[in-house]
Amino acid sequence: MAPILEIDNLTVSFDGFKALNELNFSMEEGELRTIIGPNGAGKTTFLDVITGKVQPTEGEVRFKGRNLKSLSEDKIARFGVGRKFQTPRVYLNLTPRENLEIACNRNKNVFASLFKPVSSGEKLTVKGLLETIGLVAKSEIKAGLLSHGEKQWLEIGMLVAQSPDLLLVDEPVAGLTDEETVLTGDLLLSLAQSHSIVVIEHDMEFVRQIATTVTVLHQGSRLCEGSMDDVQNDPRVIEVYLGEKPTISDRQMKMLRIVSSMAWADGSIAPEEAEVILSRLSGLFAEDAEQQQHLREELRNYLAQDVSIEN
Amino acid sequence: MTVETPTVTTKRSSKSQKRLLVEGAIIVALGLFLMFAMPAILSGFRLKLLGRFLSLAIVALGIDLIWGYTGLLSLGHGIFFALGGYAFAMHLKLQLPEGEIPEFFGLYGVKELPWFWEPFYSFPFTLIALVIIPTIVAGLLGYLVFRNRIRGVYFSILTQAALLVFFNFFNGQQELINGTNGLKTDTETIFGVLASSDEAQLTFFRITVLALILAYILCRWLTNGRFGRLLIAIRDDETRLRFTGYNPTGFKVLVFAISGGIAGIAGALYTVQSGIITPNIMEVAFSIEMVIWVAVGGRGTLIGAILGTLIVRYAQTLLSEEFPEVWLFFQGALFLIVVTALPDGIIGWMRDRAKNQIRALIGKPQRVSTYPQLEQNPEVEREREELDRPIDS
Repeated sequence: MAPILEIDNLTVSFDGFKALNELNFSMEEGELRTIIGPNGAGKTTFLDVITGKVQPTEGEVRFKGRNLKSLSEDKIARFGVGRKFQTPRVYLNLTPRENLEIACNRNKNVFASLFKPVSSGEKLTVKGLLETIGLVAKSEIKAGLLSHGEKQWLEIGMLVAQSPDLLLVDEPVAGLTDEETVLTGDLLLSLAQSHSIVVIEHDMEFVRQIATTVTVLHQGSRLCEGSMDDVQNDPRVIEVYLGEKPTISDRQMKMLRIVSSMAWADGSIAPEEAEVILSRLSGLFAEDAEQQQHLREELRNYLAQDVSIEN
Repeated sequence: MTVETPTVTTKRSSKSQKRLLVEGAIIVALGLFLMFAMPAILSGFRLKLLGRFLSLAIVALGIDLIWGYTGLLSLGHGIFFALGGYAFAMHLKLQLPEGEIPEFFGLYGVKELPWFWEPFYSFPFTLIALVIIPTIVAGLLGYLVFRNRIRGVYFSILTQAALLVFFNFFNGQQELINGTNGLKTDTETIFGVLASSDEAQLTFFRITVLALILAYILCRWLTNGRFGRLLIAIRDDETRLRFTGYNPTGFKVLVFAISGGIAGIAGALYTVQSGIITPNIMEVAFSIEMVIWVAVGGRGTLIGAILGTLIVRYAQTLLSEEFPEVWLFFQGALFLIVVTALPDGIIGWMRDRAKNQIRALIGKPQRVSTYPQLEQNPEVEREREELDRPIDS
């Protein structure tokens, strides 16, 4: 099957600053892909380029095999790319029903919008969507009165109403309660059955809930790609997230983390005990006293970072 | 739930049909009253004044369409207003015996009628031109501005700059359109009747009322359905709309062009009821005043635009008759009051806040608004029933 989205050697520079640097990316149709990366990694620019808000400096973006260069945002949207913004953006002075009807409209030129009433098929779609996003009871009040979470869902609903082939979702759970986060995850998973979806997210718990394949961006390039577990144990990912390169090999690091997390697991170790475990563990791998000291500090820092370690 | 929803929709649509019917009846009654009762009540001078204000209300409708609904603050509607006015005035100026050209050309030594005057001999052409020319000018200006995604304050500044360009151009062209002196229509005839005669003025007044009603219906139609909601969407979040797959440029150009055309009609009717049109109609202050009428009445409400115009204009007449010096101060104060105390204008205030504020004044508790759908929410109903049941049994 041909990839739905292909990105070759994409570079975007703003006055010399490269927000994206020779990025390569590809995803299959029907895939749910999560993109993570520290602040400033170029995640939002990545979406901007796909949706036509920003033009690539070099390289190209192909969607369904077609180069998107020099297509305007609205054309790309009609071509099948839907985007959800970081903060919920719905039309506050319209009701949820009207919001959805606007997104649902099949013929989006001026005169069709002027002369054609909303078709019964569209009304049916809107009704179904209102039920899916749980806003039936509030379908006739202004969207400005909805809660933050409801607005997020309404925007996802609008995205679906557009019936795109590819959904780009930028931080869908920012500012949501835990319960809403889980519901949003379920919603995205059910959507993934019939759409290709790219999700950008910071919340690792949430990523774990939905992720199949994760792509890590760093300084505008792809750092690595793989399952959530692979990615979390990749030393380069640990480095960019924690800011320091481990001095020991991957396997050693993994062992250390497993052992130390076991030791930490019950949470009832006295500080002295912890010191002993740390110094013994580090002594096992270090070759001299200085390295042992360093390794001990490093280990302590990793543990203090509260990165979840499962394998 | 699936059974209930359709009944709710049909109820709502029949209710809105009923409201539409009531609105139509009110408009017809008001229109008939204005057209036939007012001439009997008011003196000739007062009637002319009302006619002029009503024609200004037409341009206010156009401003409301582009500003109140679409969120584009145009400070250059004087252009379209003047274009309509000039088109009609030129036709009146050409009511001459064969071979003669309007008198003022003699002052500047012009012997031949300028080419662009020729088509204005024809009355049907003039009628079309006074709508189409402003529409095209607005459409072109709009296309250039909106295609380049110029928005907000920059749009306002550009329209004002365009206004100044037109103002200076019309002022400077003595040989073409009599420059600063403008075109006087008072002394001309239309269909053999003197334009300033009571008979002609009464007809102009009735046509103005009719034009206002038609403009209202047009705006109502535009703002009511899906198109109207799209205008609001453009106003509230244009970028979102773009990413939903709409190109806002076409919508904005169309609305701006319609708004310009409406202003053209208003300008023509205003001119014949004032007796003269000069480039002064394109002064910056006048175009800003148009915006103030809409702001006072309530932007985003069509009735507000009409009401605002009448209120501000009558206040102006009243005050400048009694205390000629005070008007400008009053106008400034009015604008400040609207911005600070009534941000949604008079109609907006009546719609949203008046009830509660009046209740508060007479010492009654305020009504708390809640989600109206709570009553219709089947889940709530079911819960209520379940709560009631144990008590009954």
